[in-house]
Amino acid sequence: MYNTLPFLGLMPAHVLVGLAMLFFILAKAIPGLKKLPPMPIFLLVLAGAFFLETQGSGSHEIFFGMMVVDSFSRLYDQIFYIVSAIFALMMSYSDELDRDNDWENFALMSCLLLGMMFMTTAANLLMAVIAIELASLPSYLLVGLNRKHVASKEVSLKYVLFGSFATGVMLYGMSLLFGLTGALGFSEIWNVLGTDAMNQPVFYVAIGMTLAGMIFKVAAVPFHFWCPDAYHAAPTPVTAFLSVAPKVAGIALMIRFFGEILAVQGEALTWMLSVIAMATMTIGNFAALKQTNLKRLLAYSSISHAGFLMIGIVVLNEAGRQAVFFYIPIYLLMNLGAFMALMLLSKDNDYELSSFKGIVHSNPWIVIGLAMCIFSLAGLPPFAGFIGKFYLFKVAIEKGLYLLVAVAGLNSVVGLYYYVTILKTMIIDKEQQPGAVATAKVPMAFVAICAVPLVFFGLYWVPLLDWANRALLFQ
Amino acid sequence: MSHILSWVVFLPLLAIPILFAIPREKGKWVALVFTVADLIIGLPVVMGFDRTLVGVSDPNGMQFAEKFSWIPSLGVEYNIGVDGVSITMILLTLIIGVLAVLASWKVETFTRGYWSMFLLLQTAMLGVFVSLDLILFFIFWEIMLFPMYFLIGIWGGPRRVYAAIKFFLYTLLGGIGMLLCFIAMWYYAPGERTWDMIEMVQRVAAGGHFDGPMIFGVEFSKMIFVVLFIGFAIKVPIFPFHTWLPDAHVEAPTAISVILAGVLLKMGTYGFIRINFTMFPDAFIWFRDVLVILAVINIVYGALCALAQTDLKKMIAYSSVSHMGFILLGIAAATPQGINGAMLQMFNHGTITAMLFLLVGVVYDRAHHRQINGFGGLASVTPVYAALTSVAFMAAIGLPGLSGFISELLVLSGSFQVYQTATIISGLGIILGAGYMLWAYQRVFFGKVNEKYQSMADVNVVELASLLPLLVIIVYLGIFPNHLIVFFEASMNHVSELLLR
Repeated sequence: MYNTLPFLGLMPAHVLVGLAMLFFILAKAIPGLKKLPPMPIFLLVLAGAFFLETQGSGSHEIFFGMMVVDSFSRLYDQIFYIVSAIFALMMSYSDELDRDNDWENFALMSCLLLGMMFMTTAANLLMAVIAIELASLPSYLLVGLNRKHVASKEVSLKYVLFGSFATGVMLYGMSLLFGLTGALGFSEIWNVLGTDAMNQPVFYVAIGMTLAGMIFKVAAVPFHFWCPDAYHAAPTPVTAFLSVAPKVAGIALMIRFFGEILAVQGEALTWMLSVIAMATMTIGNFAALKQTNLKRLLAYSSISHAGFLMIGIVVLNEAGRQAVFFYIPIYLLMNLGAFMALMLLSKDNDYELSSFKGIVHSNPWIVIGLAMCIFSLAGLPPFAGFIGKFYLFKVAIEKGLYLLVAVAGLNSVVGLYYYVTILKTMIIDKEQQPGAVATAKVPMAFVAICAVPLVFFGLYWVPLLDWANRALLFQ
Repeated sequence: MSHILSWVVFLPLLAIPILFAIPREKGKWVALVFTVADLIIGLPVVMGFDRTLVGVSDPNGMQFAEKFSWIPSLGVEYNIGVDGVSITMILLTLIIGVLAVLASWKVETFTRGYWSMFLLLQTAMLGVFVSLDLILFFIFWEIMLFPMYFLIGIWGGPRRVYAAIKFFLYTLLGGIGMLLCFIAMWYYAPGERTWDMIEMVQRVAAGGHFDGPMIFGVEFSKMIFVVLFIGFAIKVPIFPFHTWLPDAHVEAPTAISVILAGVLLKMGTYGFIRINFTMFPDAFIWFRDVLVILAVINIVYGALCALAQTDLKKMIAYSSVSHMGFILLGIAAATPQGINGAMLQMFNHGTITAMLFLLVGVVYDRAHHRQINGFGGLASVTPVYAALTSVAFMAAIGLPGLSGFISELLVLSGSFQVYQTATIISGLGIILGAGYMLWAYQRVFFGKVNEKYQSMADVNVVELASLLPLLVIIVYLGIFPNHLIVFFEASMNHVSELLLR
């Protein structure tokens, strides 16, 4: 039996495969093609893929259950397109990437994008491995592309080693799961396991190890060690991208993985996941307290945000998925806005906190925009970050996970300290020498585009809620 | 129905775009015009307030109410209104707002930033007092934090950064606890889920219970009660959560100290009455002894600390801790007298302490220090200033004929009916209060004239304009306290019934 669904349902993915081919192979094969500007091509294709995603409907199992294309995957894919487009925009204002190699840069981006799209559609362990690897390999390379940072190559290698280790652990866990159940599809695994498996320690070992790969992408404890180094050494646009997109993809894969578990969920599984969540937010936060480099600081802050996002997965129910999906666009706005603002403010790619002293005097508007993003990251009303956290708290309280809620609450307070330290340095401290005034209009407008909706959604979040509801239904 | 209450709350916000449209040095005039206008449009609310309506647990008794659906799927509403508990606080906020503008007349650095933060703060404070929806309340409550952080952190004294972050972290800690409690209260609300405070109090009054599970082995309502209490107690501040207050006060610019002492601290006690105690009357009775003990500690410990201070502003900050203890004592006693006294004390402390901080600001502007021992004989140099200060100090001590006396008397006579020993010990606070106030007065104003300040200028017109209204209020309420009490008497008596049921 054959069907044409794989082709039609995965139309956007095919488009991106074509794009990667163009950048990688055709550019080499056809002379003269390289004279074309790669960025407009990239953005145009993204726009096309975005349009295709909006046209899709219904839930389809394709490749005989290897992948599922549904409203959930379509919405997450759309997020990836937006983040990639923003990445392309940020690239134009950074001198850390070698722009002569733009064809390669965008080729890597296309593959990375493809990998993340497969992460949101994977419904089978094998597919999950392929997707994670496809998303990881270009990430390793992109991190190593920084011309301005000496440690870039070394960090890239560290990242590779760490990633391979995580993959190895994950594969071992998967083999255990396969040994237990004889199945590889997510839903089959849960069906075979049933409720009895909850009493078996091996069940938790298998699940825990399988999670390793996903946790690695999310940068949650204990697979977070690569994150600060990679974020520090990577070109800033790549850092901004890595802090959002792969994290979202990892979360999506986890949701998919646990999506069908509702029937067999148990205390111990919730407990295991909430320990991961608590450890992630706590370690991320306390490590961030000591950072003096803003890229590293935001790396640790993104680790702690991963912990917060995990709350939505811990509860293992619809409301949790909705809360996660509600938080993601907000997280995207505030994190990308913050990185863009920092990129504009930094002098010679120096992200040491001390070099930002009193910078409000030379660039007041960017600092105000950044302050809005930072307060939002800290979760203060009236900024949208508060509402995102509010929903995560809400689902955890409904589930009765009071310890998790208490730890998350305390972490919000600890987090405030380092976020405010950034603003203190920029606004309260005395300026050492007059800073250069950033004049680039487009990125400034972009900071505003990130910051203003944060206030709007912080006060009226119904549009965002409607949107989150659409991802809730796997259809 | 006109949206007069919304106008009162959001009018200061409307001034912010104007600030950026006009020259920097005109900012103070914009702020003055808008705060005065806010006071003027607030007057119909105060004058038109029906004093016989009880409110508190009666949704129909809320006046100037406005209610719109805001986030339908969550049931969050834009729900505002006033009753006896909030009306005096709104009046106080509006008055202090105008006076604080006058007190910051000399701010010259980053004026646009200063005034926009100031006006945002004003809106947030008014918002807290009118909100009847828990989420709305919380949003206003937290919006207050970051303007306050910048106001202390940028325009404050030498240790401003430390003081500002301490204030920020402390209040956020309480705030997060509150938020978690609010969510739990919504989820386990008696009857249908709601964020409406008045509705909740009504259901509790009708015998409803928050039917939640045990949290960490403690009964649901007790756990929520304690966490909420800590959240509000940090703001009041109640011992042992008071350590941020002296730091914040000492480092904050005069006007911000005035707002902090005059209005911000009252939010904590307002929260006690509006949310914490009335929604959990059973837990309140269970925790009542602890509340009284904390109140007594606040009164006596605050007074002892004040006695030991050498910095005038720090002394007043600790006297604030002491006087806020009386409010908690009155509410914890929960007798009609005690609780009415507590409410009156909230208003009186707001005016008296605001005046004290304004007076310290006057001398600090001239001498650039606040050491009590660094002056001497100022009474002969600046007679008007000395006279004004004497009235404010006497009011703080609780001299009969001035407003502080009435409220403290009410609180003490109210609490004596229930907690004799505690009341007697609290009396010690008043004696100590007389001690530190008079001692400080003597050191600053009497004795040998300090050579350095022989030609110190007396209060100027702007300062006088900020001080005189408070002086009038303090004297007037000392003689006719009932003119204010009638506003909240019906509501507060009802609160007393709810608590002692």
